[in-house]
Amino acid sequence: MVVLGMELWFIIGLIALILFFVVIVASLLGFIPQDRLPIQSALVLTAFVIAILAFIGNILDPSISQIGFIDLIGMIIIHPITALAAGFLAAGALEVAGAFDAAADALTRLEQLKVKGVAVFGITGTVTLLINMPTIIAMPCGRILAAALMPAALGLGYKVARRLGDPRMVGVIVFAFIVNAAASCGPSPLGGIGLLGEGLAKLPLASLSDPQQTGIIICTGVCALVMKFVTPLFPADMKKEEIKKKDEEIEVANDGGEELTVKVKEEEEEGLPPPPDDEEEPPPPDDEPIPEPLTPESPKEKESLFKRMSRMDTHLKNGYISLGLFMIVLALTLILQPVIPIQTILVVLAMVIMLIGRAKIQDLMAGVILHPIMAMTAGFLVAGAMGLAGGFDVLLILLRGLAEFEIAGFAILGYLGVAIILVNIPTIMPMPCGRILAAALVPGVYVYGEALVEITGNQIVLPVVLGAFIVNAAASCGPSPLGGIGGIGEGNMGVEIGSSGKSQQCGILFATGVTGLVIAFVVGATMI
Amino acid sequence: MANERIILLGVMIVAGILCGMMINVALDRKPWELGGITGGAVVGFLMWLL
Repeated sequence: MVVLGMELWFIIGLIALILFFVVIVASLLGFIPQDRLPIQSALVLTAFVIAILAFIGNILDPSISQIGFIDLIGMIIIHPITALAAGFLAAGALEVAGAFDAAADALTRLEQLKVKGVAVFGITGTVTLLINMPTIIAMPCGRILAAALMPAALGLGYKVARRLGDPRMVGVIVFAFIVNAAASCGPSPLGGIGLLGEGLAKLPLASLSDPQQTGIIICTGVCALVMKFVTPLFPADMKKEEIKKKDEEIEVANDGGEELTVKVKEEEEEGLPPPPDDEEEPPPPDDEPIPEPLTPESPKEKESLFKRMSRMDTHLKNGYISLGLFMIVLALTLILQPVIPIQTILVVLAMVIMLIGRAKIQDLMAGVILHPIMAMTAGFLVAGAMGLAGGFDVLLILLRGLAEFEIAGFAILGYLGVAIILVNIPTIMPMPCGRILAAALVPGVYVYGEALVEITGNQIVLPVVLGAFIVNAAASCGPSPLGGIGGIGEGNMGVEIGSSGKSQQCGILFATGVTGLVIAFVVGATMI
Repeated sequence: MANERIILLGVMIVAGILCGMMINVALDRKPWELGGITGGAVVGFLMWLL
């Protein structure tokens, strides 16, 4: 059936596609208020509207197939969801066992590590390790480590900022850490977003992880640089601290009648104070209370202090054991690639860590974060509806048309230009969870990747496009203003929500490119 | 396969060192300061290992 010079199936597919992108953009721009209709619910509704469209299309033209409720539910792929849930169980057990406290403790010890009087890591090495910690451990959702290690990142940020007299340092450390945490769900073998691409393209488990991790390392550094030099953010309390200090100085100067001193001090504050040459801790500021030494007076207090310390030691000890066990099991799983499903390994690991950390089932259940599970389910539903309504066929036709669009015999974008836009769509439209667009668009990216393989005759193009898209999607929840991971850092620093987005997006652009490069030139041969 | 793993290790360590150098610069240090480079190299190695 032809309507307005177009096939009816094409019109339905086009409407489905437009509807999907309209819902995404309207949510981003605030036209769909997230407190009333969250993006996940809006996408489930979209899936049902697309199903109704297909039903009407079927009445007009019986060659168009209906989309039933069972068809929609059948589109939810269970494997990544169960892997994600198992990953959360393991993460919950690790948290209760104190593994993340142990990681923070290890970082503090590393800072003080010296060989022949020379600091091996120092403050910058510790910062580099801390902000990359989420991708080293690679949990199924970046929120787990973002929340667990945020106090350590903030503490280190304030310490460096006070030491250098530069409040920008808090933002540099916090948001480099945040973008790393946001992207860390991409390479995670514990139900990370990478599984979607690996499953679809029948690639080995975690084969896209190393290239993504390489990209994320570069992304973290770039984000730190942009945050320092282009879009600096100042923590609200540190600004207050400075104003308070300035007021006090003026007050003191007025009392003594020495206005000249104030002017000199103000001039000094405008420029950066010279950083200290060594790693020594500066004396605490005057307005900061000096902590009293731990010398309890009464035997009762002494006992409770001793008990408290011994409890903390056990907690840390358990944490170190759990973290070590987790890392060994993870490394062995990736190296040996056993036939046992990753879910089983994770559940058994969670049970062992439960025993070590004496955690309860409730603790484990508390570790399960529903937000990404719902996001992935909504993504699968809308992707399923779009796929059944012909949305991805229309997408492919539109992308091909865009690639072949010429002005005066000169292709404006070409197939490569379109591929670059396609893999960056998740960060152009950052959703609160990267799984939404990853699940919804990964079939489209796969189809376009196959088309690119046909055109170029190069098999490696498909994993390159998939890997680049996945790392972009995974990291995109960092700069999202709709309750993305960036909000954790922005909330803690007391800055405007979404204000760290641009620096993170700059970093993610680098991650996308570097991931593609590493797949193409380093690991690609093992994938095809 | 083994060669590729070793090349990948090199690439990841270089990426880590680059990241460490960027962090050095972001923290007002010289790019080649030891801490950032060591930290970055460790990051690259750990990511490759896990």
